[in-house]
Amino acid sequence: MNQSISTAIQIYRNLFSNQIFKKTWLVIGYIDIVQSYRGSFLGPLWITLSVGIQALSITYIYTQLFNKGGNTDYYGYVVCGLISWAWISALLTEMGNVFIIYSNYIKTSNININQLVWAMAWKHTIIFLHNLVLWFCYLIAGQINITIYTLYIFITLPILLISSIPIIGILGLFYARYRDIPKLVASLLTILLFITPIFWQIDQLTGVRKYIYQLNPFYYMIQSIRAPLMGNLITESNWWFLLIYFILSWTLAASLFNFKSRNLVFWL
Amino acid sequence: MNINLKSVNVDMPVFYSGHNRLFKKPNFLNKRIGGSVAITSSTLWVQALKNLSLEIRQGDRLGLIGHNGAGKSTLLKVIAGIIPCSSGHIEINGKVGTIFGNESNLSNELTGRETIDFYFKIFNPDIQSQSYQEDIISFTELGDYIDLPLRVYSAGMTARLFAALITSVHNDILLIDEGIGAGDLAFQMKFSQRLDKFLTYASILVAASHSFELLKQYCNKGLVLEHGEMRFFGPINEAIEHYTSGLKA
Repeated sequence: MNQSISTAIQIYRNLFSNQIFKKTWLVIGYIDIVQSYRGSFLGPLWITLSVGIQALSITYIYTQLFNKGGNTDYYGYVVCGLISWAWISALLTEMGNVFIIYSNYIKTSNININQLVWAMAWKHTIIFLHNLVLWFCYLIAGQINITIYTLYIFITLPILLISSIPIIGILGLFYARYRDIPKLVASLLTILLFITPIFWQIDQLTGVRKYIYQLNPFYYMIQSIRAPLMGNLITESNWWFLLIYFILSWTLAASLFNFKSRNLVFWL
Repeated sequence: MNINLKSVNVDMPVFYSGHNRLFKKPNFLNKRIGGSVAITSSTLWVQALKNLSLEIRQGDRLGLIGHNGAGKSTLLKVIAGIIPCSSGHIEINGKVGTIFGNESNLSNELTGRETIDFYFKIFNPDIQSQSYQEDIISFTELGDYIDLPLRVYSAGMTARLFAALITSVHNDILLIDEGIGAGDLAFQMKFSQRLDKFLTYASILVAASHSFELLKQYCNKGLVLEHGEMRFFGPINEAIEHYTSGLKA
């Protein structure tokens, strides 16, 4: 019993405390963004712009498809959905490739790999904040309403981001060890985009399909961000999802990551 | 300051599709290069270091000698904490600094000045980079190039920057893998003076090189490795002799 407690403490010490205060991850994540926009005129504005272009072109076509011409809600729905989706797709692709992307650090220095996991999470938090600019634009344009429920974003978003840290670590190990997985995920990503309610709304479903979408974990992830951004209430099942996601991530994924990360350098 | 290795083994798993087919019958027995290769159930292993016990004490300047793939770099990486050992015990007392080639971990899009700044923030977060920046910039003689991105630098210019960067902080234990010489002749002479000064602070040096001249200049002890095993450990001149006589035989 005593030993298992000390092991548990060790796991969290590795993933969380002493290394993280060194702030190395803040620098690595920041450099990553800075360098990728060097030489471009608009710079990091491209982050915001690319999701904005997606949202505008999709709403232009789909409002007619779904007969939502007069429904301003739909514009906000699509843009908030795409902002959330941008983060989720990054979680499954770039964040999962964290160790492959940062392999230079691992192969040439004894940097603590948790720093790299945190750096990747931080980088995509910055990108997410860039995309929130779009939300402000839509808010000013009157396409989105803010209510008291909007404040829930300050609870749901941190839960989602913090829960994802061990997930990034464990995805990173799997992606580095089994190189087929990132390729498989990348090819499934487009399907995921279309079966998750981002362009369409759940009340458009009838029959058995009305229940199937509830099995999609990414629906809850999206909804955790989209609902408060649109000023809507977060459902009870969504809170349960966040709770379970948080617990599973910081127990199962965190300990698995801790035990399997030793041989990482040989997989790169 | 000391480094203590007790029967250290390093087995590196090799993963790539198709290894089962290609390495059914390993034929590495009479080879001149590489470590031993072993296969267990489904995994292919390279035995990079075999049962290595070694004590490196304060004041030791150890030169690593051996054929390509003898385990020199692996040993350096084990000491640096980059590669874990599969079995055995390793104890290191002192702050370790490494010179592993000149390539940057950072992006070529960053300017020289940013590279210096970020390098300190990432690898030496406890040190204020400003106090070292001017010293590094003046030593490299890069002038206004320091504010241009690294991708416009020539190979020699990049080498100058990293040579200066790595030798700017004093470490107790210094690990060097090949390439001590960097840049043109004028810079090499200047750099060798800087390295001498740097070495007076480092109490242990471990260097891998194929240049006997360089090893004789900097090292007082030598370790001969062959296929991951220790063949000789003693004074540098005897170690070089042991290695060269083995080649003639």
